[in-house]
Amino acid sequence: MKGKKPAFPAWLRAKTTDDNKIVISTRIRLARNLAQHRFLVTSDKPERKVILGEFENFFSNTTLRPAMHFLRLRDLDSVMRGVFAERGLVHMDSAREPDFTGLATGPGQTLSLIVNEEDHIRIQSIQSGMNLEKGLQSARQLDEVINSTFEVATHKEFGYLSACPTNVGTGLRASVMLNLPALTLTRGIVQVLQAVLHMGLAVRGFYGEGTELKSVFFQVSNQVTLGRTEEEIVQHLAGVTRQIIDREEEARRKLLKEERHLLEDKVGRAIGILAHCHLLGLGEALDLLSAIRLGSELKLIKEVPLNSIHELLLLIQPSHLQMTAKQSLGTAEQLRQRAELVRKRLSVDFFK
Amino acid sequence: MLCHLCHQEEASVYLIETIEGKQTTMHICETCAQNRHLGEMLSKPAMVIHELLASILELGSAALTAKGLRCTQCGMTFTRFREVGRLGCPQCYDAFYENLLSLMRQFHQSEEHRGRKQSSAAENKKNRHEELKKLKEQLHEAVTTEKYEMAAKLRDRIQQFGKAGDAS
Repeated sequence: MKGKKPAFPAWLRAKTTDDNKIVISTRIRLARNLAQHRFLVTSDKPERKVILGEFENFFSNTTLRPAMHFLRLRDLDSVMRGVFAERGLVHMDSAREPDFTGLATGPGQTLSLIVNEEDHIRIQSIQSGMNLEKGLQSARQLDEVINSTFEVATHKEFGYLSACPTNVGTGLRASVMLNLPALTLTRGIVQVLQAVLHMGLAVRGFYGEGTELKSVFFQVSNQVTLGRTEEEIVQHLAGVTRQIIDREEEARRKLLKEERHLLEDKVGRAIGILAHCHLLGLGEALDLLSAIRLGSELKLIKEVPLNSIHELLLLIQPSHLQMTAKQSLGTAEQLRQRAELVRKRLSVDFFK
Repeated sequence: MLCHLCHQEEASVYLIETIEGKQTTMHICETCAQNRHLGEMLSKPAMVIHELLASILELGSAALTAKGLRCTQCGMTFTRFREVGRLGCPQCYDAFYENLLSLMRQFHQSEEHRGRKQSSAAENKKNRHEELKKLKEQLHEAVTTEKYEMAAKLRDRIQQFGKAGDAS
């Protein structure tokens, strides 16, 4: 397989704090475009190539702090491109059609910049746990360098311009990844998420738009990007997230008090299946890992480090499985390898 | 009765669905009912932009004037924008200004950026870029009209510009 195996993302190294129990990670994304170039739908291959070249030059000739490493997606094989997509660093579409897409990543892959996706430039900062302000700060630092180096497209009224008018103004998409197993179990989830939608925020499943929703991981983000300051957008999201956390905690307390047996049964079954399964689907794995995560946090079972579970959430995905196996795997083989990986990992951390 | 969808849990929800005019009924469990509900709820954001564009174009006089609109910079038409939901280039924002304004009002409930603006350094760079472009145009005109003395002066100024640019 081509390319070095990338280091594991630093944002998975979670500390067990109260907020991290429910918020897995936070993301800040800034969409920017070059004033002198056409957007994706109208630009041709030569133009996209020029843009990619400009950024390749920029990253090889500029000393950034922290340092960033630039690569053309086309130089990676399909498994590694899939790995970056599963980490949320590039879009699945560019993993499939990588020709003119570039990716620059900083240490631990917390800060990244994507060239030639829907927008010419997307700066992204991923942090572990509830960390919106820190994410905004680090994305801004890179944004300032980009703005003083390139001629970035802005408009006197609409602010930063983007390919889609729903992203103009700040170009900011702030999002939090939440684990809400208790709300799902107590059936309060629909009501809570409906309230979130009413407050002008968007909700997506674990794998972004269009994901079939069976798991207990949700991504909540702002929709409005124009007419509010970056701070207002982030504070609004943080406020709503705080309320969701409260509701999830309330549901956990209620479950513990009123339906402890149900909870213990769910967690126990999850341990049983994961410890002994030989074929494991992705959706099932996500649900069972979430149950173990919940059991560990509620101290129903021996504590499992959050890191181990978060790492597994990524490692069980198709491209990560293939990266670990160092070969391409068919669907049936993935079920087998996923089961084996989870059995081994959990026996190290849990069934010692 | 077992749930019609998962065949595992006891069905407790009676679901009536109308698909293409045909009504179907199902007995499903609470878990499957919740999953269905979530699935419907969370598939919405992707559709928002197309629905918005459709509603804007169907309302009022904007629909009539928008039909023949075209961006002179990239050739994008408003009709195509409506189909793909993406603009062609930064200049499209001026070409379709009036129509975009009503889209902004509906989607963002605002029509003016209040967040961070480009720093003055970036702003200067933009102005310098435009000034340089103007100088190059003047140089081209001077050469084609054989005003060589003028052309030499302009060439020197352009060279100076390049040096100052490197220093910034």
